[in-house]
Amino acid sequence: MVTEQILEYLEYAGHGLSLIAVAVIVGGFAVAAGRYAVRFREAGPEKDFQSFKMDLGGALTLGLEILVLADVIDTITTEPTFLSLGTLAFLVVVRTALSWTLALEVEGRWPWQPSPEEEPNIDDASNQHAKEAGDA
Amino acid sequence: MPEQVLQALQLIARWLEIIGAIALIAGFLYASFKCLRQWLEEGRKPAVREYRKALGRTVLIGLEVLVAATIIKTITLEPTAEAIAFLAIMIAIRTTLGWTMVLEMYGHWPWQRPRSGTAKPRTDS
Repeated sequence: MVTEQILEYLEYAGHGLSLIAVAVIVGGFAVAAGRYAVRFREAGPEKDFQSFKMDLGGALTLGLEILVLADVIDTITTEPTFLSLGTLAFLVVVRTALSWTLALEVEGRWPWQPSPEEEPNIDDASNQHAKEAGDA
Repeated sequence: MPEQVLQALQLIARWLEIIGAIALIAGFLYASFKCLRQWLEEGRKPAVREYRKALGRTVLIGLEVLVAATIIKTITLEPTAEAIAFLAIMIAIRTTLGWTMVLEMYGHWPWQRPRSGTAKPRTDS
């Protein structure tokens, strides 16, 4: 049947996506490590550690994003089992948690909180507060 | 329901799933090429940010189609406990994923009104 044929191709495409996701994670790690190594001498380990972490996290979430795509396709092409569904559910949870906490670190707010541009006063106040705390 | 109608419905659900999967793959490819071009032109950061947004939109569209397929499947289902559990989990996963995607892209849950100024995706701000 036609659908069987298409599903087979889709299965390959899903595997391909998984491989791409792995490539993104590994490549992202390599790039981040390389950048860290280059800047290490100039900035020192502490200062640069933060951006190294951000680079790594960015690569990870991007890879996970693609992995979720691949897994959603997998649930179509393969007969679902409780194991495969559980894997997908877990992956979704991990991806979401990682993406949220990463956004929290980068932007300083949860996704459901308004962005600082919308409420500059609150943001300024908290910045001021942090500054004072730092001075003291 | 007559046997033929059931089979037709099953076929429709199957095709909807295939369409959803193709939409996912096509969206991924499109977003990837766009990201590469943007990377070369504008550098890494804006390209990756746009890429994640585009991937999110792709997943949203694909999931929407897949949920439609799953709903049709509930009609044709042989009502065994296992089959129902599969469908329930599948729908739960797909809806949760859709919600969190909306939250990340637009900054509010799907059932909330957009805040003034965030009616559009955050790219514009």
